[in-house]
Amino acid sequence: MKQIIRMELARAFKNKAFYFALLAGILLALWHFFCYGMPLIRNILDVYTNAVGESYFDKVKYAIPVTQVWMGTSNIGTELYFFMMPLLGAIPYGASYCADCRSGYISNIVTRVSKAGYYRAKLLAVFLSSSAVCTAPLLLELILCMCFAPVMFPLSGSRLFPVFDSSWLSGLFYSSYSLLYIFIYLLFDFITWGLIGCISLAATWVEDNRFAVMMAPFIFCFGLHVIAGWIIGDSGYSPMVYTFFPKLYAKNLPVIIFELIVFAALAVWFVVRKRDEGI
Amino acid sequence: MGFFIIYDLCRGLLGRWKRLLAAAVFCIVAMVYLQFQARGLAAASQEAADISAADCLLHMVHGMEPVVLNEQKRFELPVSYLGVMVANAFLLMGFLHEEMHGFGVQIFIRDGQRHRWMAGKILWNVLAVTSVYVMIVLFSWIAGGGGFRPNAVLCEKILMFRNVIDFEGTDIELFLAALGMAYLSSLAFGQLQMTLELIFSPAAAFFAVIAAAFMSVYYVSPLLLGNCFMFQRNAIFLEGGIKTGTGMAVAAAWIALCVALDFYYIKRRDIL
Repeated sequence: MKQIIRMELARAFKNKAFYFALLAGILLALWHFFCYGMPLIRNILDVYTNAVGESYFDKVKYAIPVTQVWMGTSNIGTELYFFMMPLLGAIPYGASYCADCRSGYISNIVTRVSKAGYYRAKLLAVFLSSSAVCTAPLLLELILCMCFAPVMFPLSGSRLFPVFDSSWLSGLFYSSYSLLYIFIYLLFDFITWGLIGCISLAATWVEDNRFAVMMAPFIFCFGLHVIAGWIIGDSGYSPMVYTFFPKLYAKNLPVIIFELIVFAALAVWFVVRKRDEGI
Repeated sequence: MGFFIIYDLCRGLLGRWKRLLAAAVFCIVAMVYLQFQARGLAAASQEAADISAADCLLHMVHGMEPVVLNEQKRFELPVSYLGVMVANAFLLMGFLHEEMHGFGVQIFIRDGQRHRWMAGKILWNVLAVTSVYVMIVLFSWIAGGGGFRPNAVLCEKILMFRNVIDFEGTDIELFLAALGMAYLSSLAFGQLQMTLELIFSPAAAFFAVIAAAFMSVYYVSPLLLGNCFMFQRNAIFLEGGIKTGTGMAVAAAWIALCVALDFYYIKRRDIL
């Protein structure tokens, strides 16, 4: 079992598609940093070079915390990243099961390891590769922001942040434990995007085209966004919205948890059904 | 050449009926949404909210007004614009790649004419985009009950298209202008996607096209094809917007460039 897991993880993380998806995510994060983060950071430099503000009070007032610059908690320019993540997450390894079936690899591998072991390893590899591609650029940009902006605690009265009273864990964000908030944020996104990436495995039941399977998480999430926005009237139920944690409102939490359970169930169902199926 | 057209029509379009169905479902949901919104408007404000085919079409192609990204203004994803982009890109995705690595190679070799094969694929691209727009026009017509006069109140309150009455032409001219700009822009996007798919991969091409479409939301520039699509950003309605002639020229230039690259690449590619 360990061997097949190691093999699948190596296939997932050491391939061109993974590097492409990771690079694309990093470029999106850097675009946000240089277009929207850097101008804010420049304000700090302007204060200390006396370009603006003369008194110590002004210097304190104009400091820009990391949480204002970082894409995860910034007010502007974040939508593109969270919109594209279901697409990028599935690119590295989402279509691997289809490719294995088509090439005959699966017939060889299940004679050497158990079918259940192969499918579990496949699920784990898809989950981890999707999560890594989606979360790593956020983490990278956070570290980059921390190199330039001070780690100050956000002020709730400043209205500079997209975290409102109705946002889940807003009390934690506006406390001295804002880094814990960021940790929970990244963990939530890690799990959510991993589960969304696993939709590509479930899609193999209805589609055998490699590229359609790869696009399934994105199409599914976009479809959910259309349903949430146009039919239900609250786009907060869409994964493309609530993976931006400040827009995860406490009132939507039960539905979001239900959605995550459905994603997890689809992933587990793939393993269970395929394990019992003949090849 | 006729063989290629029929083959591409059968395999590339009819054979992808699930994707066409997904596009049709999206159009239907969009029309239903507009109907409900119009009824809500009529009930709330007692103003007439009769929908016409022009309103339904504008709902699909109006895009959104330029985004002013500041910390106070809330940003909403332009769902109808992105939906049409995604529907087109999803329909086109992967066919060229499958043909290059599958049965299409056999046809390619037996015919012996690379440029005819490529011309067939370009024509397939046009037919695929046209099929999506035929669906949009058809559903707009059915949902709107005919009629080309846009409802200014509905456009302002629901579509956030405040100055649709600034158009100085007849209603049918407005309908055709909105449709024409969006169609040409989609053709250019489709051709770009096909070229990127030929050179790189279907996933990279899909990602590039959707990212370019999304970037057009943030930046008003004629070079970003999404702006040519968004009728609300036309210079008629927006000061400093995209002029119709400029938009058409840029889209045509993109198409010409992509077609030239396609033929150049396919002539030199080692198909074996």
